[in-house]
Amino acid sequence: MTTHDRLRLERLSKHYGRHQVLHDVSLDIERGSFLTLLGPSGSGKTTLLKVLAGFERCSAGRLLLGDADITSLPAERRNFGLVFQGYALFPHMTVANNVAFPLKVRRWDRSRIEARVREMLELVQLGHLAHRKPAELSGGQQQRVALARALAFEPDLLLLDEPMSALDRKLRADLQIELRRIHRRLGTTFVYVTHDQDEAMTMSDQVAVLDHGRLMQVGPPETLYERPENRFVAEFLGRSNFLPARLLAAEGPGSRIEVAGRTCRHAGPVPEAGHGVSLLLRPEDIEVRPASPGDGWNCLSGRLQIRTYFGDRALYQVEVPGAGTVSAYAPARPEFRPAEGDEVHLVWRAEDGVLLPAEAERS
Amino acid sequence: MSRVSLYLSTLLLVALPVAYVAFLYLVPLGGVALRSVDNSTIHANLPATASAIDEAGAPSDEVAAALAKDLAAADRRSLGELARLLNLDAPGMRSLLLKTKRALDEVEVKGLADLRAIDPDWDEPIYWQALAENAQPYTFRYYATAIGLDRDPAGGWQFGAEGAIYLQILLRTFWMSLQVAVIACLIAYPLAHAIANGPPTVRVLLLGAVLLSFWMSILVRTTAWVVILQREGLVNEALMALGLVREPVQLIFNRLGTLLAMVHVLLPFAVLPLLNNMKQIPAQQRDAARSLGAGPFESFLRVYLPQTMRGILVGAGTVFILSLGFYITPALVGSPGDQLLSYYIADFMLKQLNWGMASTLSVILLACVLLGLAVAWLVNLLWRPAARAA
Ligand SMILES: Nc1ncnc2c1ncn2[C@@H]1O[C@H](COP(=O)(O)OP(=O)(O)OP(=O)(O)O)[C@@H](O)[C@H]1O
Ligand SMILES: [Mg+2]
Repeated sequence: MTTHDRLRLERLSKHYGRHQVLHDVSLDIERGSFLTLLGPSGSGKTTLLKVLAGFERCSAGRLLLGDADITSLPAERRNFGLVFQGYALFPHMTVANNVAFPLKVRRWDRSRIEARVREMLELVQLGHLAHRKPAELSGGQQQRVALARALAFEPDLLLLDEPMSALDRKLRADLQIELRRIHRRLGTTFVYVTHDQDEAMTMSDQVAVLDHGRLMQVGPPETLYERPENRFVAEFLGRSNFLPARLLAAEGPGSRIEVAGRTCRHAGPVPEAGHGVSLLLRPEDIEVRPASPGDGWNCLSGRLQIRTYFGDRALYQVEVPGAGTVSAYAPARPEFRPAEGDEVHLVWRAEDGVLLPAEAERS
Repeated sequence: MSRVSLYLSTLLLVALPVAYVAFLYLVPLGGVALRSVDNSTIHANLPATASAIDEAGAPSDEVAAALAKDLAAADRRSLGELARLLNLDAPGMRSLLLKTKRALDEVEVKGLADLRAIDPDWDEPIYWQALAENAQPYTFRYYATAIGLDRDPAGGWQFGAEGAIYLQILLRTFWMSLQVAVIACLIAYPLAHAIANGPPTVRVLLLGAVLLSFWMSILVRTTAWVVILQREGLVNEALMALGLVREPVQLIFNRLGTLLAMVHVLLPFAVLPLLNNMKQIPAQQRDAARSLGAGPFESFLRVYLPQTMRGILVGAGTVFILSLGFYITPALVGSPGDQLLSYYIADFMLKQLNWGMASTLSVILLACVLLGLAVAWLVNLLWRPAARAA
């Protein structure tokens, strides 16, 4: 087994004919981490996974495992486990034989294989179903068998392509927890593909967001949510408000910006593109108040349009002149209960806003 | 009441297919089966003898008189047929009967002694035994002949001098059918694989070729082989032009040509079940095997091949069973030593006019086919299709 500390993707590109599916993707995957590739449908997640697995050759770029260049190593010699969306279990083999397959291929001896298969089936809690055929299992059970099979040979990397998309909500939640437990226990590097942002946020150490074959941002879920580097990431993860803004003075922690005709303070980093910026505010960072708290506070006033009650909280949609509709969350039982049509004031802290370069509309 | 009407309507629904099966299969097959044991020529033409003679065929005055009466009443044609059939059981009986018939014009036969006076051969018990046995309306004579038995001089059964030729032919039929099935599968497998997994152009082209030959008449395709393989045919001319051979090679009217033509004619029956099977195997399976560390060869052996076993068995079985009954192709491109059982059935029917023998061989062949089907059915039962993972 090779010892390595990371898998490095160096400017990977992939073309299908004239259609470029991956653009210069560079990424380091630390050993033992749980990285999620997140992106909308067609963003190139599966393609990137296939390049990692060795089923597709990239058109340009390199793939380095530790110091070894594995760009052109065939799939069967990479020692990467793979869990497919459709599981791809072998229907003519029992569960135990499916799990034993990678070990037989590696010519392990019999007793070692038996012990390992038992261990893996215990790990995914399927010891009692070892002699069933895949067709006799439920979707969730097949999923676990696929996982056990892909992990049995102690792969350097486990790749999972939307492994839960065929399962119902409850089962998904169970399996997510189980997957994290297994990850923590084995310490194998996991690369997990999904287009479900909740799944990405709850499970991963690192999330890599892809859009149209480009890597938009990589980082821990908190960073991506709280400090997105671009509008795509901000919009893809959670609910967000974008307010057109103008930078008045960039002074590090005490910048001043103009939002909808009001001067506000901003404490975060400031984008370099000098001209247009927009201010990202998460709905939960905005407080709805009956009156302006006075000078020194970031405050916009507007008219409450719609109040939607969720039980644990309420969503206020407020029309702010010059900034459009702004969404804000309020606690379920607030002291202040404006009626629809009332004037309200929206207040946020200087450090909660994120300034992003205002992008031209994507073509 | 509704139960009765339900019952009736069910009956009505079932009646139609039952009638269909009965008229198209059971009736003709039953006819053939009856023919194979039919002995009515003797029974119908010697009615008095048949009722007078006892099982052992002990000669007596009464039987002799009955026989004389029957012979006198028989017309020339039926007597000829009768004499021919009896001669099969008791050699020499043909001339004995004809001689007796002639003598009956002058002599009146009242008892055994009168017959012996006509020909002392009537002393031999074998002729009386032959009469006694054929008094029954059914006979297993043809089956005995088919497995190589004939009459010994004492009237018992013995293995004939020429051996069990029909068993040998049956064995040859099985052996050649097996060869055809195996060769057809060996060719069909890569073909079906290319059609199932190849790029669209390859797929269309190959499938087109297979289906085209499927739709063409067997006779046409066989004739094409004759044209291609004969001494002045395409293959020989090409070989000579290339200087590979000096003289034309004998490619046809031998075993090689027969097998070649049969394989070609039956190939689609092996390709189609295989193709159907292969289409159901998702391409992901191959990727999965590779990601688990299996090289192309190993993933084929351990993952792909086992999943196509059913297709192989169905394809080979179909070709085998169809080969068992093959007639035209070996008849046109084979030598006499390459003929299958069907050829002899046709020969008995068309040339020798021996319907009994033709029917018997047909029944034997049918029994073999049914046996083959039963085995296939058993295999199918044991080889449960592993339903695919969702
Ligand atoms: N074999 C192929 N030939 C040509 N184009 C392809 C091929 N495979 C994928 N593509 C294209 O590459 C792009 C990315 O596809 P990919 O399957 O990687 O998306 P994805 O992010 O996995 O989407 P999804 O969430 O729907 O699975 C798509 O525009 C797709 O049409
Ligand atoms: Mg995908």
